[in-house]
Amino acid sequence: MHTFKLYFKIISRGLIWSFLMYFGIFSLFAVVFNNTGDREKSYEFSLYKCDTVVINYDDSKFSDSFEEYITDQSSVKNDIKSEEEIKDALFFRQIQMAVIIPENFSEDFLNGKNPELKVEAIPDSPSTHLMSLMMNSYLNTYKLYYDGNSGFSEDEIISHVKADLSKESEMNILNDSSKGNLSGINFFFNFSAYVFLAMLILSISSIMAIFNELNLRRRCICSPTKEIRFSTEYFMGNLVISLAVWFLFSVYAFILYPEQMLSQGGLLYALNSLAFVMIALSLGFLLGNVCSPKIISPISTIISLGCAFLGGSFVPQELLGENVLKIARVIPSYWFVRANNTIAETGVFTSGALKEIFGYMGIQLCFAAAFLAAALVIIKRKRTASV
Amino acid sequence: MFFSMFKYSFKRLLRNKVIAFWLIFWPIILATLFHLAFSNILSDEQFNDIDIAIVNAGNNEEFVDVLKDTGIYNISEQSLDEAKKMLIDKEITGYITVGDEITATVNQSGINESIIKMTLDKYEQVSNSYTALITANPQIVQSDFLTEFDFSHDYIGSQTQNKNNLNLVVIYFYTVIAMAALCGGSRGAEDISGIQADQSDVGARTAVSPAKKSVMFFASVCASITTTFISVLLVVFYLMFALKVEFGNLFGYIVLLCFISSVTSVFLGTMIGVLVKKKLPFKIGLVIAITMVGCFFSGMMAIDIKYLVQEKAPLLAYINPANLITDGLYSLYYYGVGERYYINIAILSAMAVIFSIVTILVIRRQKYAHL
Repeated sequence: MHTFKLYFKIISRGLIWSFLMYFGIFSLFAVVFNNTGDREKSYEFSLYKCDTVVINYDDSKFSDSFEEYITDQSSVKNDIKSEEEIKDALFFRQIQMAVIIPENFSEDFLNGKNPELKVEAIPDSPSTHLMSLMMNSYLNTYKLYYDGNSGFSEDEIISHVKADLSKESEMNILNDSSKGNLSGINFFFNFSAYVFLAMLILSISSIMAIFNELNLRRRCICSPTKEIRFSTEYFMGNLVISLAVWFLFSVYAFILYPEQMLSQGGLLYALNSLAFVMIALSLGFLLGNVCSPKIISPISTIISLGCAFLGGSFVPQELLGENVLKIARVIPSYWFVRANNTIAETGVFTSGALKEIFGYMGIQLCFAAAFLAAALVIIKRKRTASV
Repeated sequence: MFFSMFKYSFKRLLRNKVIAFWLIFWPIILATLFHLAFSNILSDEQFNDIDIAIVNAGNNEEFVDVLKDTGIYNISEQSLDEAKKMLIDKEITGYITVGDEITATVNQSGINESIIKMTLDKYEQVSNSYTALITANPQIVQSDFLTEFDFSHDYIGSQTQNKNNLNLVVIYFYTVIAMAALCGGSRGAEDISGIQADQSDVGARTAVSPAKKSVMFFASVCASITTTFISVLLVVFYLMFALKVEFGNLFGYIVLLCFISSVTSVFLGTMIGVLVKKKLPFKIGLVIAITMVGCFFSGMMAIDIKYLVQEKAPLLAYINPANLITDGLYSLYYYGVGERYYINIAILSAMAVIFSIVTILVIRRQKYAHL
């Protein structure tokens, strides 16, 4: 078992820092994005509150009441005060709208001059439509009472407007127990596609490239140990490292999401990631037999990042463009992420749903088999070529 | 002397394939991946007409007409079961049940669902307001006021159509440019290694040659700055013309920023080269690590981080060269030439000066007792 032992010696000396770095990056992202996950689905409707900033240069009861209404109906950020801060906050989507009530707005408004509020917002976006609807509602209702000679005082108008606008319609949320809600753990496993690829391709292909180095290979061929023995020990080394990484990540998932991992969904996630690890294993094996040690690092970085971006690990698949999704079907991590997303959305695992998920796992195993077959063909070619 | 050394350093750098890969091709590949992945990411900021279904529309035709007049809904009339199914399959955002009361059923408390709520609320609220007004002023019914009053007047309208360069995805591309520029530091570290006799064979040969160390060093640094500048410009051209990334129109200022970033990054590399007493691969690794950490804090992995650092830890934003480069490009794109751009340029230049002074001070004193 010398080769097998040597395999792990190389890993522990050369690659342990890379492993720790990737694991560290992954942990950082997993923890940071953990709190965006699995909130208990609320069956009570609540108004979506846009992030806004209100700056009121007009000093009047009317504008104060208007500002109060906007504050009630949206989530106002009080720490943003200047116009430059507003521009930055809007660009980085920390706010969706900034409303600036100009000086003399109430005077112009009440005298029929139809002044416009100064607004900074994302053009023609849903949040802009929502805020416009809300603000126009207030202004038009106020105008109705004012222009209609209602005889009310300013305070009376304000309280009438408030009373009118507090009438709300009944909104129900559909109680559909067939839908699941596993978004946090889903992100964890989708992101793990990048880390599996990066860690396993780098380690497996580096070690295989080392073992395939010409002089070393010549010495091995001359040795009394049979070549099949070497191949078996390389294979066992690759398999053990892949299973170890998979097991480590499954345990980590269990620590972060204990309840979800103990459910049917959790088991399916673990199985799906095992299928993906097989792809990483065979791809690493292929690259190790094809590339020289010098170019392994850039190639593994490009492949892992490329697959992660195009497969939907970093950007959700529903936000990728049409053309990208067409190309993505040839990328193995696309199917991994698709299976994960299906697991996340399925609340009750019917046989139809399971068939779909296992189908995606099957596609991944086909990819793994294809890479392995290609690697074996290349090995055979090298063997029959002159050494 | 200077020019012949410059020429040979320049040729040597052009032929170094590994460095050419990491400084030119890697940023281009990364930018292409970003372009493919992020091309559609702002699609949910575009408002599309909301798909809804109405159940029992016959109970209140007036309400259905009001909905159609808003112009923001795609309305279909369905039975209750059909509407429920369409909602579960996400073919509609919600369905409205018209009866004694008008209610809506949706999947979640999202923006479009809230727009539906507002529309329903407005329908009820308007009739209440009219009733209250008529109660207070019964004569108003006899005038045209009620029929002529425009309850849908838009006080916000045209303002929100300002397309003010709000494409935040460009920040990712600017961080790629910052990464390309800062990786030039590895060339600076190599230059230092090339004149340190204990670090490389070239360094040993340089030490025994009659050529002045200062001239050699200066020539190779100039060659490094030139090649880094050319690499950064190539990346910028690729982003501008192939990927059509928005930069604004201020090309001259972008070139100036690229040049100063190249100078700063090479001197950052030389400073690391003289201060760190390890072999060249370690120094290059350190330059790359600083580059990637700097790019992380300027938003390469998640844009929110740039904003967070800017607001909560502004000092970090000002000393991070990757952020200065990214912010310089962002300020040109969003604000045009102004105070913010010049501040970034000034700090980058000051950094270049400080790094070069440190480098020269340390290198001057280095002599070798024996080789």
